[in-house]
Amino acid sequence: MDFIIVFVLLVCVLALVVFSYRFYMLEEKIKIPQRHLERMTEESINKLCDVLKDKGVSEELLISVRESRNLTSASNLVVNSDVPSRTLVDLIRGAEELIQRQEETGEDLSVAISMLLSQARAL
Amino acid sequence: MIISGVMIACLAIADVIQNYVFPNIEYETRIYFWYLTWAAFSIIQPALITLVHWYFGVFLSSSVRALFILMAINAFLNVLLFIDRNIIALNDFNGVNLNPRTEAWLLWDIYSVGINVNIWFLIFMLFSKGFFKDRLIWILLSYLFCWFVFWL
Repeated sequence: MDFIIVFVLLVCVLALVVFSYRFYMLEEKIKIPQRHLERMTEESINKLCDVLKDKGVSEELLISVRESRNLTSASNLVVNSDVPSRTLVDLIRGAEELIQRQEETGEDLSVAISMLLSQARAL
Repeated sequence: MIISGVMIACLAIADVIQNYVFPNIEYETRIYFWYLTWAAFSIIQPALITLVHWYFGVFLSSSVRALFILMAINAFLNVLLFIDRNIIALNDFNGVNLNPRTEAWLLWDIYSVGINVNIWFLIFMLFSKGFFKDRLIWILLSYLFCWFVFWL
């Protein structure tokens, strides 16, 4: 019995380590991005798109961001088949972090999102 | 805020268990369940935090990743102590180390310091803002500093 308990606990520890390493895999598995988009208000998505537009994101991608919220299926975030869902999620996450940090510190933290934007521009 | 809220709730429950449940249990039984309980808490907290993030649709932040790592370390230390005190002594593989006065060894010191360091470091991470937030070198130095302070 003790060995079973120890084994189960060690498996859980291993799972924690694996999920800390493959962090975004955990997020995608439990569909947090979909839920996040479902709960976003119109105001917050407009604010997000304004930030993305200021940073030079293409209109096509902006439409994808707006329309991703209207998806009823929880299976994926791809609206435009040319836009990978991972990039879309990273773009939304990066933009929201940018907005939040700018509000907290007043500092321009667009370095974090510039890498994402270079991916978005390449699409 | 989610991490803080869940951790405060779990610490409150842990405090009740430590002060009102464990003192009423016979010593050897207490030692058996002590480390299992804290290992379980160390695993349940990240699971609960992830669940609450899912419920509110909040992206997992780097603080959650740090929590996963620190709680994994905590759970592992608790498992090692459980083995050392209930299954087989890990220093000489002869019996179990039950008596804290005569059988304590390095692992127990690492455990005592490590558990406290991890919890205090997590609290520190949650309150870090601005320049200090999410910068890896700062996080690493802070963690090493916590170990240094607690080891002293």
